[in-house]
Formats: sequence, structure tokens, C-alpha cells
Amino acid sequence: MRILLIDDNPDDRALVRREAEALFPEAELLEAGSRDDFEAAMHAARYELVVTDLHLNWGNGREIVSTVRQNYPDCAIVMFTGTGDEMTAVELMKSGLDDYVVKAARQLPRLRASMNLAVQNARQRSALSERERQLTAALAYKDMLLGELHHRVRNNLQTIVALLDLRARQTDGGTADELRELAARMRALARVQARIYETESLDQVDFTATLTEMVVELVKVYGEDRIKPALRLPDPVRLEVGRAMPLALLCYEVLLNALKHAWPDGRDGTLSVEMKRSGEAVELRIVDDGIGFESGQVNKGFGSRLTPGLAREANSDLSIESRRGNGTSITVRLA
Amino acid sequence: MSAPSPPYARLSVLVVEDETIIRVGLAMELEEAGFDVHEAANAEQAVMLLQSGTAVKVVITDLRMPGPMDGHGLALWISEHRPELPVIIASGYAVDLERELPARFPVMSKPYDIAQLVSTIARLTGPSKSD
Repeated sequence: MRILLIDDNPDDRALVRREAEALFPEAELLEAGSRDDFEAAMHAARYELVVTDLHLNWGNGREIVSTVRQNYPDCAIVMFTGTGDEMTAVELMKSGLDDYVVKAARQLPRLRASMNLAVQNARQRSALSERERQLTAALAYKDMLLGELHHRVRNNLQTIVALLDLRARQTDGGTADELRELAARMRALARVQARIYETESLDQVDFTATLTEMVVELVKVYGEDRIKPALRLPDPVRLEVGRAMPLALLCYEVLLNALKHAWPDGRDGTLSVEMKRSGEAVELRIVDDGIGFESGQVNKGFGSRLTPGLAREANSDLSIESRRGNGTSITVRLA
Repeated sequence: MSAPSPPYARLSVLVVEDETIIRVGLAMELEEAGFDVHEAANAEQAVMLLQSGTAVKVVITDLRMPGPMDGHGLALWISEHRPELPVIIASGYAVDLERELPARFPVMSKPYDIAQLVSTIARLTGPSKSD
């Protein structure tokens, strides 16, 4: 370690040198008796401890503390003061002085204790700021990885969608329909995934935007210009990814089911999607004015088996109302 | 004995998986293969189902699930309370597959390979146990 002693009185420097050598026998000691010495010393090396006088014939302690702090933020600084200077010393402790000792023979034992404590504190400060630097770097790295991961997942999902669409175009009949539906399910997931990337915390998605895109696209593909979408989504609703994913899939299943079965034989109709927020609670309703169905008439396909489980996974309540000739209304309540 | 029935008729399996799409998809595939499938979305539901006396011959559980008990906890619960009941543990994470788990639980990687899963179930239940 390196120690710098600043005092215009050579006898006082010798006195501090003796104490410092006793306390830190391995240390290299430098002395500054003049401004030139001090300025040269500031560029010469890194110090772990600076002991300075408050009153110098070429400057003052305040200036020394500020210069040392600026050059060596982790360095320990101990100051010698005369009696009556305590208030100044206390004030200087606010701007980076570690401790002060009144210059008097009987205070010498205190000088040694003070230097020791100041160095220990400075070492702790330095370890803490190093730890803080490491943590900040680790956090930035985590954010970068998470962003990169979401990006890759999104790209992979889009590749899957593109492949399924391609195969659907190259195939006919029922298989093509199956492939198109699979592609649309994947697209529902990809939409949520893409929106994760927009948020700073990377754990929330704008569900209003996701739902809007989904409705517009599904009506375009399956509505054949007969079905009008009616969107009432006044409140921006943000959801955690863990709820948005199952909820997006649920909406997809419900919307597709309505578009495929509610208006048979080329009927016209309106598909309404509403989402309201009241406090923490969100209510989502998907209503069609189609032919409806009797309970018990529901088929047990993949979609209808999925919806109750998806609702539970999104931590929501699902209720379905339908009467023959009176359309179907699906309500999802998120607490 | 009687006329041969489909290989897994009446063999009842419990699928424990928190992700709905994966659970329902697996349940439907196992039903097509001839199994009678029960579903649970987490370990607590699985324990309740087993305690209710539902006849189950094999449990297939995901390892990582939210809630106080994960798939490993469920496997340990079963080995304590239903030691005769075989458990298959599945995980999509490579680190889990290398983790130390009680030796008697077969561990499979996700996504599920149905053919492999069916042959593991057959090995665990054996002809004498499936009746």
C-alpha cells in the first residue's frame, strides 16, 4: 500500500510517519511539504491513505480533501487539526474526509486508531463499489440475454408460421384447413411473443393490441366479407406474459369457433369483442349473433377441450351462454 | 382368457402438466392409443385426484410446475403414499434430466415422444399389473 503525508512542518511529518510505519510496516510512504510536492504526488501513484494537516502555509485542508477525493474516490483521508477546528473538520467529513485528529501529543494513540479505521472503511467502500459495478454489469448482461432470447423465440415462431402457411398453400382440402389453423394458433402465440419485446420489463404485453390484431386477421381470413367485426376496447390492458399466452390462445379458439360455426350457409353477422377494465379486474366478452347452440350439442374437439384449461391457466373465470337462434356469448373475467 | 382387447384398454393414466395445450394434446394422443386419461393442472390437483380414490395405474408428470409442489415433490409423495404406483417424470430442461432423482422414476425429455412414452408405460405396468 502507498501512504501520502501532507504537512508543511517536517517535524509533524516525521511524527505521523513514525505512527504510520508502526501501523503499516509494509507500506511505502511519500511526503508532501509544498504545493509542488502535493501536485506531483497526485499524479505519481495511487494512495490508500492520505494524512493531511488542515492549515498549510501553501493551501488548506478543504482543497486537499476535494482534490484527493476527486483523484482517488476509494482512498482513506485522515486530517490533523488544531484545537478549535473541530467544526470545520466535521463539515469536511460530509465532503469525503474519513476522520480527524486534534494535533496534540496525547492524541497520538488516537491517530493510529483513526488511520487504521479509515483504511478499513475505505477498503470496504472499494469492495462495495466493485461489487456494485459487477452487479450492474450482470444486470445489463441479463437484460441483453433476455432480449436476445425473446427475439429468437419470436423469429422461430415466425418461421414455424411461415412453414405451416407454405405447406397449407401446397395442400388441398381438410389437410390444408388443418395446417392453416395450426399456423393461426402459432401466430396467436407469436403475436404475444412479439409484444413482450416492446416492453421494458420484458414480462408484460399490450393485450389490447394483441387482441385487435387477432380479431382483424381472423375475420379477414374466415369472415369472407359476410362477418363484420365490432371492437370495443377502450382501455389499454397490459397483462403478464404468463396470463397473456393462454388467454391469447383461448381468444383464438373462441373467435375461430364463432367464425366457423355461428353463421352457416353464407349468413351475415357481427362478431363483437369487448374488453373493459374496472380497477384491477378485466372483463373480456366475445359475442356473436349467429345461430347459437344447445348445451350438449357441443363437440369435443381440441379447441373446446382446451378453453376451460386455458382460462384456468390465465387465472380467469370463463362463462359461456348460448341459445339456439340467439347467438353465443363468451365472458372471461380476470381478477 | 377372454378375447383380446385393445392393448391399453381400461389402463388408466394421470397426466400432470400445467400448460393446457401440452396437457390436452398429450391426453388426446394417449386416448387415441387406447388409454383412459385423467388430467391435473398441478401437483396439488393430482394428489387430490389420487386421494379421491380415482383408479390410476400410471402417473406422467411434468417436473417444473408452479405452486408449492413440483413434479419431483409429487413423485416423492406418491412413493410414500402409493408406493405401487409408477411415475414417469418429464422435463423440457436438459439440466433436469441430469439432476439426481430417485432411481425408480424414469425421466423423459419433452416434447413428449408418444411411442417412447407408450413403451415406457407398458414396461412399467407389465401384463400382470394392467389387469
